[in-house]
Amino acid sequence: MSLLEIENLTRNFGGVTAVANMSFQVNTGEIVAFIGPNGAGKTTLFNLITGLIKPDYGTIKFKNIDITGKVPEKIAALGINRTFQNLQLFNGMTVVENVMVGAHRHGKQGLLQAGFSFPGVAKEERFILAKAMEKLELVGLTDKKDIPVEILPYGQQRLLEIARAMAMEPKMLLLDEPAAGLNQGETDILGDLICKLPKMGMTILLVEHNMDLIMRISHHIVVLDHGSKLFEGNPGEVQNDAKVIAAYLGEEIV
Amino acid sequence: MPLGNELLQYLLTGLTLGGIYALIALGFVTIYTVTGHINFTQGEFVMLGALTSISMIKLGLPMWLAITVAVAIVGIFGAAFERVVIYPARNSSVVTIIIITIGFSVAIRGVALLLWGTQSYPMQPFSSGPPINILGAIMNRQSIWVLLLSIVVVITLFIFFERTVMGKALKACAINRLAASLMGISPQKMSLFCFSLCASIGALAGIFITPITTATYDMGLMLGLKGFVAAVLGGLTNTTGAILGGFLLGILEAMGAGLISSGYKDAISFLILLLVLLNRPEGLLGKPERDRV
Amino acid sequence: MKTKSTKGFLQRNLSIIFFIAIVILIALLIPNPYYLGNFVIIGIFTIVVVGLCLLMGYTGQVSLGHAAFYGLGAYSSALLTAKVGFTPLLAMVIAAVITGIVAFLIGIATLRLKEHYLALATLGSGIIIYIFFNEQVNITGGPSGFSGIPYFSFGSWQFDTERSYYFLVWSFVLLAIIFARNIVSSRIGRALRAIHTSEIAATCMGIPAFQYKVQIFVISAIYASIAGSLYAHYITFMSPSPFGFQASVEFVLMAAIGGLASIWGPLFGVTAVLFLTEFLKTVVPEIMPSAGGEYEIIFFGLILVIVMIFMPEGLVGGIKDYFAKGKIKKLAIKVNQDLAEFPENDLPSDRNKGVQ
Repeated sequence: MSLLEIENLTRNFGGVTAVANMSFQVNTGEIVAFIGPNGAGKTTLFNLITGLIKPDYGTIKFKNIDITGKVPEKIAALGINRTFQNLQLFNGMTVVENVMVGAHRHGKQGLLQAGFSFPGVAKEERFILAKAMEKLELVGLTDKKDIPVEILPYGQQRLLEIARAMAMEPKMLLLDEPAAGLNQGETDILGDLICKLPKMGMTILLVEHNMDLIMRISHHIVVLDHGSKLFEGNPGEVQNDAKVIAAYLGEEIV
Repeated sequence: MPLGNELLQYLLTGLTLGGIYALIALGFVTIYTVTGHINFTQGEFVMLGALTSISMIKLGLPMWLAITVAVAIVGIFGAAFERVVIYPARNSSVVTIIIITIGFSVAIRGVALLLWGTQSYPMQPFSSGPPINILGAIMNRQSIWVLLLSIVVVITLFIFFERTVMGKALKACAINRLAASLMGISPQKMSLFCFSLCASIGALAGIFITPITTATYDMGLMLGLKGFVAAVLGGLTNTTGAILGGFLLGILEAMGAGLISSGYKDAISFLILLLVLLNRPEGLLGKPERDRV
Repeated sequence: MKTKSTKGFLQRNLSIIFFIAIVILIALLIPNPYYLGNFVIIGIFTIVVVGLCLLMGYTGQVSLGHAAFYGLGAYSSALLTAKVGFTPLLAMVIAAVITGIVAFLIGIATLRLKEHYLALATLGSGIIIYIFFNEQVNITGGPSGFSGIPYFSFGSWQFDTERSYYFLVWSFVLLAIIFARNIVSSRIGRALRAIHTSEIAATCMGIPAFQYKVQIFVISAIYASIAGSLYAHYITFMSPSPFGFQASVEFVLMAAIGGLASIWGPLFGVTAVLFLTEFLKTVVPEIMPSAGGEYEIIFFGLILVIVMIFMPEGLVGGIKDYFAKGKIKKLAIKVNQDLAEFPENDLPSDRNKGVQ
């Protein structure tokens, strides 16, 4: 069953077409990777899906609901969450608080209830904390929970962003270059983590430059070039396609 | 007076006000584009220019010399302000810089109160003679000086930015600070120069309007705010916009004061500002900003 | 602290108990009603500034027009009691509702703007409201104002002495601080801080940033309104001058000096500023005999500039940072050196407290 359907999606910036007439589908439980040279439109695609920018043309359907042009918080409410290529952690807050923000949507109590400290508030807070701790455990940051995020090493900040996004328990998780700046050991841990996510009910969209990682974990690969879909298929097919090799993989793989 | 004449009268008054607002707005825009800061002290430069020149005249200097000296003093003051206050805080958040420049303007106003007291100081118009009659509407001779000044400043700035190395360096900083510094242009020097330049322009504006309005220690507050409004109306990053914004604000204010109520004239200009901001947050001539992820 | 451990809970109540003790102590130690009157004003301003800190420090939205909300509360209370004959408590509630509605309208119109634009829009809104106070002479009495506002009362309980008013105001301060603390340490509070650091990331987490910004803007306006009501019944005379742009600026300055992102900061900021003002009022004329009043604003401005340059997080933040810096640095070194074996319960939570 297709979870995400994208049809004829187009977005221009000034005279530059960042995403051109793109169509593809993502099935539930898949890990789908998007690859392509810089400027191929990968991050723009993520920004379009999460509502940070609006498309000029085309539709995005999630769980058969048209989410084209909706505001980010509405799209997130439907169960889409993401991480960022340039980390967007909440500085000035601790590790666990960051993840608790990710679990924001598990709460219902509003501003006034919180201000007057209604009985439900403390209970809800414990629930959110439990959710957050659960996710921290998954990425192995339990013992860092009270550290300010700014002083966390870079690799762990990347893992923390994933934990934060997972805390919402989204149906679909978009990871924008999660392995950027990680060493080999950290990348392996990341790969294992991502592989576990579909079993937890998450469909994964992945933008990444690390080919080894992509070939190891993804079920399906979409190759982008100049904002258009060049090719799509499973890792084996992608590695053997002449067009892809010419556009992107180059001598590295061959 | 028939309505046509009345409107013409308001238009002329508005042009004079607008010229001053445009000059102050230019100060806001130039500093904002080059350094990224909003300088709430801009209005105080206007006040300092006016009162310093009055003191110079009192010391017996001829008017042209008094004006030159006053503009130079305020220009140096602007540079000192940049070094002592803005430079140490240059990496602070937007809110912090706003608070710092507001705080410093409060302090300057206090110093002015100490030096000049609360009375208002008149100044001789630059040229004597009866007001000029234009199609039944009356215009002060000094108003013509104000308009002349704004035209001269705008042309000078244009030549400066387009034809001189320094001006081009400033422009480069405005377009891309990092790239400019890679080209060997020091953004810090540019910032220093820019504050000095804008302080001088503000001082000139203050001196030229004093024969019409007289000068007081607290004149900078409202003039500064109006200049900021004009700058935002025009788009905050756009020199042409600042000039248009200034004249637009001046004319609307004069019309509002004449046709509706003088008590509400400031309310009218701020209401217009709000309406523009709501419909075009980027101002009339500005380009929309986009958040980058 | 966020984990609501028993220790955290106790600490939380300890500071409140400590606060109450100091309030009572001041009332006991200061028999002179004039000085007690200063503390009434400190209390009233603190309420405004706590609300402002929720908006500026936690949510990161500037308001340069808060004195107008303070004025709306004051004028509504004054008019409803003196001219309509409502009881002060009912008038205070209605005033808060009126101010809340006005703030809501201004909020939905302006809070999509960012930084400088928001600063200017709130400043403009404040000035428009202030001009109304001056120009609607039929209602407000214009610049010359009106008097005959009753003292605050609660049933048959009249608050007509400095001492009783002192306790009334500081009870409100206590409620204001507790309410703010509850918000800040809640899910909503975390969301507000998230909006402050990265609005984009916050919205991607499903946080309705704009809606929350409007809500906190309204709440902080209601804080100002309640303070205004208390002011009206204390002064019993109403004129527009305390509600202009200058006052808005002063509130921001007090908030900044205390520390924008802190709940106890406003208390220090307001107290420091008002004491300094009083002090300068007596000292400046002695050093400079020619100087009358008002010159203290020079020092006021300068001190603010110095505080903002050297302690951008205000007095409370600055002092905390001073003590926390060493710890954090050690912690950072430790984290980097020893990634695997990090002792679980040995982590200082000072930074955490700083942004409660």
